[in-house]
Amino acid sequence: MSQPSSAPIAPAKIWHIPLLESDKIENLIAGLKARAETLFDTIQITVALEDYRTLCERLFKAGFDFPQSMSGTDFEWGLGVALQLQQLESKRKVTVRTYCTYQNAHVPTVSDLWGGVDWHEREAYDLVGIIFDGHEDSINGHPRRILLEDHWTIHPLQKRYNTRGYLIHGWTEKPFPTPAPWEEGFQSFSSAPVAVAHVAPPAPKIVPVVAVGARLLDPKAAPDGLGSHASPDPAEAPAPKAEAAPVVSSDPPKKVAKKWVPKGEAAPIVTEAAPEAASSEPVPVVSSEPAPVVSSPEVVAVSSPEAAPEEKPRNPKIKRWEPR
Amino acid sequence: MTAVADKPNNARNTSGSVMNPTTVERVAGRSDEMLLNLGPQHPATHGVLRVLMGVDGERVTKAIPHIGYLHRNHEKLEEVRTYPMCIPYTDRMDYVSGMQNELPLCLAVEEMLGIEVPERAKYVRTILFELSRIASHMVWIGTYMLDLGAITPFLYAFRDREMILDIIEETAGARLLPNYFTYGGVRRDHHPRMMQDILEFLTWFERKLPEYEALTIDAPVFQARTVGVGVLDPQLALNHGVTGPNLRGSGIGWDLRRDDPYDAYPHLDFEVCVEYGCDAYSRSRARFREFRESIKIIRQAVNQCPKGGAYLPKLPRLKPVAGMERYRAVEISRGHLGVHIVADGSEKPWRVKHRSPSFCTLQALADMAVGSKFSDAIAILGSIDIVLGEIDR
Repeated sequence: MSQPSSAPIAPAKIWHIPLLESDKIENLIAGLKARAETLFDTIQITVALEDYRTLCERLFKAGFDFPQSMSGTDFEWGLGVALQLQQLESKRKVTVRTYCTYQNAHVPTVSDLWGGVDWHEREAYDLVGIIFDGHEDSINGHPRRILLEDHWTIHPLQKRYNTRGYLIHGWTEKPFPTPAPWEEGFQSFSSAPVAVAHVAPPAPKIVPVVAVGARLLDPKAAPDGLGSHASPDPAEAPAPKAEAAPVVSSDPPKKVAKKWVPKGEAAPIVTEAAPEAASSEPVPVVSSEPAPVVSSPEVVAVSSPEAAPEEKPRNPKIKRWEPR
Repeated sequence: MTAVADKPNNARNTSGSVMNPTTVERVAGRSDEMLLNLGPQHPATHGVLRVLMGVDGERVTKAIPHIGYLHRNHEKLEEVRTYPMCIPYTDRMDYVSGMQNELPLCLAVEEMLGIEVPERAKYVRTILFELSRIASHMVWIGTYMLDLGAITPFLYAFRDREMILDIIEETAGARLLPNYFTYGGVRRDHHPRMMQDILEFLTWFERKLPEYEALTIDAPVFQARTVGVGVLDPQLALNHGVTGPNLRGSGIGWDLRRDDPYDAYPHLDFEVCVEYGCDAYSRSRARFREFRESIKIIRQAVNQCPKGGAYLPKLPRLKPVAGMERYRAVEISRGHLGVHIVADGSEKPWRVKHRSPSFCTLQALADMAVGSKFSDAIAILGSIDIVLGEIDR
């Protein structure tokens, strides 16, 4: 069983081999459009696309003999390749990063240097859509698909597709970042502006045709979207609204009335506003003479004291619903 | 296509249709060559793997693996899920040793966030990691012996593997897909009897190990089938990204437990098993020697396991900084299992790439199998110990 925590723990072994002076990273990226940074225990070299092949050849000659992995990534402004290499002798790790655009997603292959990159490049083409030029196993210049069938047309790991493989509606490509990847200050996830700005359409003006009670028309009392359409400013209230009253009375908008009347509370309000007309439905109220059409706040102010539901004594037979 | 038309007797399947124009064209070469589909439904392929083999008499002239029959695209699914929700997907990759698959993701995210894992959690992880390695190698014994025509070792191996699965089930709650490792330790502390059960199992297993060796690597029939078969050149293996016991069977002692240590491995004393024969026998022998090393590791870890918490009760928010990347690999029973994470600053990973060992090892199949006898090709395919769930992901 487990010993007490006071048991001595053997000191950690450290395998450390000093870096070779001749193969310093500064010498390897000299003369290339590249920058190197330390990321955890690896050195990440971000290189321009035209120097990618040159850098890989230099790294191969410098003794980076083990290809750990390669992955493609869709950054929404382009595609990225990350190649992880390792040197067995010194245990140095290097990640080579390069980027390309959607329009020209061609990256030179390195599978002739490291045979283990072969299938990773095919996978990166298959899933992300990066075309590796000069790949040995190619069809019409494109690497052969490896995980999906040959008749697939999309690359499902691109961000423009959802998990079901359909195009995401409204997906837009972002512009290539201004500090280029191989320059200082590059950020892959900076808040880049969207290329095509999505302009929201103006909110449609809803003209209220039926006023059932004052409570609904008060923008403060009503929740958002219900009473806010009643413009409090009298100057904003247009004249045609008053003309719209006979139109409304001739053709009662049933849907609007039904939509706005809450079942529990507004029904007594309707009977209050027009007791003789509202026999069964609240809709005939509209055709009645008082014309409860809201065109200006004055109407509201006049109708509100009459339609105050609190002053009327409630029918004791009608049981009011209360939340438990 | 044209090559098929030239040799209608050889490159024609029963339905009369051309199998796959791109592949047939590159396989058909000689007039005596015949094309054979090994798989996808073949017991020797350990899953749904199709190997298109060109056979000239009894000699293998081409071996082209076709993968993707089990593709589920975990990487896309993990992009739309938060970091904790990604862990169960990794179990499904290498379902033979599911617990080992969770570790690289946990390590990568912990390093990105700077989470310090409790000491006890490191030891518990290491113990279960090595137990999974034993269980995985047991499956390899059974299936490889089945490939070579021996049935008894399969029954023995699965009998003893069941004990490991019982321990894992008692601790994690599931046998094959445990979902036990998590960020900042393990999901819950282990069962109180786990350490005792493990020690009892090791005592039992150490007694049985000579029996296994007598049935397999010490048996003359096994040696006749594997010695000198499927020679993999060390330099070529390294260049092709072959890792794990397959690389160590080719004479390169490259083990991430020692060379890029994680969890409790820097505190433990063990040996990297290297064999220099470069053939199927050496690969098998490297795995058998790993049994004893795993037993050694588990014994030490159980003895040294400190008390305390096995998980962090309070984790920071799992939101790595935007633009941060991490590639982390661990040594699972088949080789390097790596994960490459690109974070965009949200609680979901922007990109997760799993570097699976069998995926890379299978690239070297043609180099091993071409030129050998066809029955040896089965022995080679079994000796590299592939799991298709991890290849296709």
